[in-house]
Amino acid sequence: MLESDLAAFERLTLPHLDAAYTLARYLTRDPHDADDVVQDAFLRALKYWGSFQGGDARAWLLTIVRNVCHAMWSGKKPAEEFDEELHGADDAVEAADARALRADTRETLRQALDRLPLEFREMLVLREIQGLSYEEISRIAGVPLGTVMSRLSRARARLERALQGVTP
Amino acid sequence: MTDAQGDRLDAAIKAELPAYQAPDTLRARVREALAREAGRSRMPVRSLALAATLVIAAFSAWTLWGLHVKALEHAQVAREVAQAYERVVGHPEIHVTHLHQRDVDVQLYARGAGVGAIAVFTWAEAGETGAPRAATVGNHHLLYWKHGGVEWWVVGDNAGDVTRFAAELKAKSG
Repeated sequence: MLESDLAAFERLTLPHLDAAYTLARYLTRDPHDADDVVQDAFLRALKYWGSFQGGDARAWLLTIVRNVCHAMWSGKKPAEEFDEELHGADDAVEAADARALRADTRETLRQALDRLPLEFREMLVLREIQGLSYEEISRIAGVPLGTVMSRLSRARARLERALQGVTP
Repeated sequence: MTDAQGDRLDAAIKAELPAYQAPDTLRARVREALAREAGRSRMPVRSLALAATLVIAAFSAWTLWGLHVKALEHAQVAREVAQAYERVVGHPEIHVTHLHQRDVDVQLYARGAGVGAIAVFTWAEAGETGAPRAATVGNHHLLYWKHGGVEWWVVGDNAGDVTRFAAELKAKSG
């Protein structure tokens, strides 16, 4: 790779390092894993730089970060099919969320967020923290727009239920 | 969820779930890794004149599968490197595995057909150490040090060869 190519790559991607790190932090829930994910993602991005068609470099990079997180996650636990209905239903976990509430909003939110399935957590982070549009999230996660909205709605409902136990 | 509940949740998320700022160490690590990846052909070890005494038998991008190098004790790293050495020597064709945690370069040097082979493992790692430290795993002798943003491991079965090779490598890589 020519040095000028690397410079172009860095110019377009490094400004989004914070966004990549934020997504990785929330998805991995571990700062060291987040470091590894981000480095891995940038190296993969560099490897596939030739396939970048232009456009939104942040969304492109976040797609790679998300994929690396999912690959890491699948390597740490037995593969399981994500069941939209199962995770979408009100269940005992939510009741446990409510019981486990502490009188601290941040801690409560973090715990509730951490307990969300990865597929829900990424929706919240991309939408609420990264401020991406539904369309962008749809492209990044590779799921239909309706699924984005549905998962986001359910994820928000869980966080809201968790907050109900926090004294305003 | 009512509008009021939604508003309250939005406010709580905005206030309590921050966007993180990447640590400076990560920023440096990424730039270093990118430069290293882009400049593999300019890696100092590749430009060494070591081939005068030892023939390069293989060069490969190699990943120690699932190895959290940073999180391991050096004894564990030594075991992983020794195992990787056995795989490299046994299969001198190009090895590329799924990049998972840490990108590791491997160069294999040999006096002949796999006899007296010495492998050099390098990966990006901050820090500086002085004289190479030694480790032994089974019949394998290992010398390792950190310099120039790179951790170096030289592995072979002949302690004398490993020592001479590492000394030359260290001298020529600055």
